[in-house]
Amino acid sequence: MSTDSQDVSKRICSYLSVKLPEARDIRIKNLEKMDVGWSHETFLFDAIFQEAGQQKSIPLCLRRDPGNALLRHFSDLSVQFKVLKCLENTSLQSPKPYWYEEDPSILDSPFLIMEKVPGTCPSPWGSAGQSFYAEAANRGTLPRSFTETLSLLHNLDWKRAGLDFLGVPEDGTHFALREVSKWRELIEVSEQEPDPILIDLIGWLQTNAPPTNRFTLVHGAWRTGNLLINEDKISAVLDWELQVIGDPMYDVAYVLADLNREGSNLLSHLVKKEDFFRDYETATGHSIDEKACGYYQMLYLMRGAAFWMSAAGLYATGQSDDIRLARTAWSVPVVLETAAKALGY
Amino acid sequence: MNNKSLPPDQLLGRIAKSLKTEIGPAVNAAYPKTQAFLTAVVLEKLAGQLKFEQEHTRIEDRELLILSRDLIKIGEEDLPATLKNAIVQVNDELDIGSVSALIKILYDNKPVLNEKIFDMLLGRIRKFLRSRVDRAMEYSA
Repeated sequence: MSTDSQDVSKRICSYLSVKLPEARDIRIKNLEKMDVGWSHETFLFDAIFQEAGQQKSIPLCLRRDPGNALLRHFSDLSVQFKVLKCLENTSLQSPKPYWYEEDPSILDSPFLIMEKVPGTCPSPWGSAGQSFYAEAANRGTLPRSFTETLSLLHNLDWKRAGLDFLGVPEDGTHFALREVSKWRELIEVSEQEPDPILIDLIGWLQTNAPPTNRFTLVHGAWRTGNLLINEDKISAVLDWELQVIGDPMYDVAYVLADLNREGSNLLSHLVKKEDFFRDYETATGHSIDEKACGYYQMLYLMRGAAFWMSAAGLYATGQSDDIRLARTAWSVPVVLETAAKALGY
Repeated sequence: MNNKSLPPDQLLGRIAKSLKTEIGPAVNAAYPKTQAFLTAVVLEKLAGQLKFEQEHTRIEDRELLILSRDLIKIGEEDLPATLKNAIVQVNDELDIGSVSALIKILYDNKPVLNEKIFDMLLGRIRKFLRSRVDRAMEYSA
């Protein structure tokens, strides 16, 4: 264990001793800093302690705000914690949230601690992950779970769960236009000059926003890699950073998007398109609106450009030294070329 | 004496190769290893950008000039003053910022514009942008 890990471990122990006053001899075992994602730091560990004469072990996951996380303008850890709290008593698979702390004296910056749900989360961008999903696709159980869980999310009574704090759009084009504005803000804070193709794309999005009056909880990034898998089923929905109350077709569009399957015939490297349509429509009782999905796929291109601009901006402005972010400056033209093609250039 | 220094793009390419084949593999810790490989990728992209820079700038300047002349011609139609001004701006400044401003104003004016004129103006701008992004893809993809 490195000195940094020992320090984090010690500080977590001291925090847990306050949160678990009955616990004695608290120790942290199997501390692991996850080397994934672009946003919050993630630590996995087991808290071992004695309570009422018995040894107990709780598997935990800690997410900490590094102060320069991507997308932190949209959903900070306090919002993520609140969302998980709202989901706690619903049937949607999500990690049980334990504590959220803003006090920087504890771990230098805000953090939340939640349950470490059993499962793995293979990245769909590498060959190992793609083989994992291809094999699961052949077995057929995981693809059904993928669609069932999305249907569960879209069938969830979000008002009853208390999720209306996320902001409820008005009927009509308000939802789509609000998303466009939100991602424009990210472009503005990136301090990068937007390419004219992006200006064109934004103009197109503002002109062609689809009206909707059916709102659900929308995850905002529903794909393999953001879903934890255990025993061939989704064990938890992760990455609660871009969730909104909005048009469910926004999630469906992401499932259908080419950008999430990189040439695979399977949606999200996992599900046959016809199976997804059949199972989703049966479970939700709603038809997939392919025209609306086409619009949201254009919006995802704008999001892609904004995301890469924001990442490149963090490096360019010295807020991060992670060279992965510097590399993303060249991802912007790639996304914009796709957008140009989609706009009919 | 002959100048035997490498052109900057080739120099960066050489350094990238060293990072990929010698330095990166010798690093054991996961994070710095990834950073070393990513640095090589960034240097390769920069090398590509540098290699094409002069040629691309020359083409872009020429295409901007042709674009502005075509836009002025279309701008002879009956157009809102803000739009006409934005077209003149492209002609005066011949830079990419003025093209972005024109696109924004074009969309702002869409509700009052004849659809054919809107499509003509945007179509012409898109032709210019298509060529521009194709060039960027030569080193970005």
